Amino acid sequence: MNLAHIHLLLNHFPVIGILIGLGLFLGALIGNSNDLKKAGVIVFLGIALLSIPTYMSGNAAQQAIKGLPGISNTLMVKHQNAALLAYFFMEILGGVSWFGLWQFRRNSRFGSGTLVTILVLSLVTAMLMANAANIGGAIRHPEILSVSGTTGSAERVGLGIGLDAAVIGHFIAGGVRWAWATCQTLHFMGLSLLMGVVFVVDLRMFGIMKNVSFATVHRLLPWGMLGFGLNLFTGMCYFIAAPEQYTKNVTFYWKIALIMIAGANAIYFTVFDEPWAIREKENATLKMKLIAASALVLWIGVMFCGLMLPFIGNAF
Amino acid sequence: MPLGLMVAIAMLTVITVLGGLGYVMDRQVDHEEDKDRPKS
Repeated sequence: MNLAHIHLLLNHFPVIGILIGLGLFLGALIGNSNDLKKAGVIVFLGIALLSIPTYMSGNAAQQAIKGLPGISNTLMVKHQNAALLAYFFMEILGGVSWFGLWQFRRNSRFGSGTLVTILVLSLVTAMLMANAANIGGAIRHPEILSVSGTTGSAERVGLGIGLDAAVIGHFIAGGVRWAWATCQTLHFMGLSLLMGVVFVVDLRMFGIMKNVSFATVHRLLPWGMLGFGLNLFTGMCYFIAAPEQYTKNVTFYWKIALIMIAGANAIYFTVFDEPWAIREKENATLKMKLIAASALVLWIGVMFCGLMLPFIGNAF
Repeated sequence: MPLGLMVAIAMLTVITVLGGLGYVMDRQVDHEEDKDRPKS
C-alpha cells in the first residue's frame, strides 16, 4: 500500500461526509434538535480532520500517476487547486464547528452567530468539495468526460475555481523572501500556544492546580485551538511549497497519524460530561487521567516527529 | 528592508489578528454566560 492507495480510500470521506453532516445539520435546524446539531457538527469536525491526510496523500497520488498514458496533467492541477480551496474552507468549518461544540459545553446551547456561520460555511464547502471530487473523478474515469464528447472536455470539467497551489508554493518557497521565515516563526508560536494549553488541561487531570475547576481551564481551550489553527495553516504553507519533502518522509506520516488521534482525543475534553463535572479540589477518575496521559504522549509525539523530519526523514 | 524587520512585521500582524480573534471569542463567552446569570 502506498499514499496513492490511501488517497483513493480517503478521498470519498470529505465529499460524502460533508453531505451527511449537512443533512444532519439542516434536519436539526428544521426540527430544532440540539442532539442532531451536535451530531452534524461532530461530523464536520471529523471530516475536517480527515481532510488533512486526504489533501496531502493527493499530492503523492499525483506524483505516482504523473506522465502515465491517458492522464491529463491539466486535469490533475485543476483538481489540486479545487481541492486546496475546498480543504481551506473545510478546515475553517472544522474550527468553527469545534468552537460551537465548546460553546455548547459551556452554555448548553450553540450561539446563534455560530450556527449561521456553520450553515453558510457547510453549504459553500459542500459545493467546493463536490467540485473537487468531480474533477478528481475525471482524472481516472474518462467515461465521465465522454458525456461531453468534445475535444478538450477534460479542461472544461468543474467550476474552474480554486487556489493555485503552484503560485502559493512559489511564494512560500522563496518568491517572497520573508514568507518561509514568517511561517516558521508563527509555527513555533502556534506550537507554544497549543502545548501550553494542552499541558494546563492535562496536568489538571493529574491533580496539579487542584483548587481550579475543569470549567475554568476549559475556558483556555479556544486559545489552544487558535495555536493549532495557526500551525495547520503554516504547516500547509510548507507542504504546498515543498510537497516531496513530506510525501516521501515516513516521519511525516507518523506526525499526521498522531495529529488525527490527538484531534479525536481533544474532542473528549471539549464535549464530554465527565471532565466537565470536576469541581475545585476534586480528583479526576483513572479513565480521565489515562486520556490526559495519552493526550500528552500524542502531542509530544507530534512535536517529536515534526522536529525529526530532517533527521529520521529526508526533509530539508 | 532587512529580512528580520519584514518577518517581525508579518509575524506581529498575524499575532495581532489572532489575539483579536481570541479576545472576541473570550468576550462572547462572558456575554453568553452573563445571560444565564440570575439578575439581582
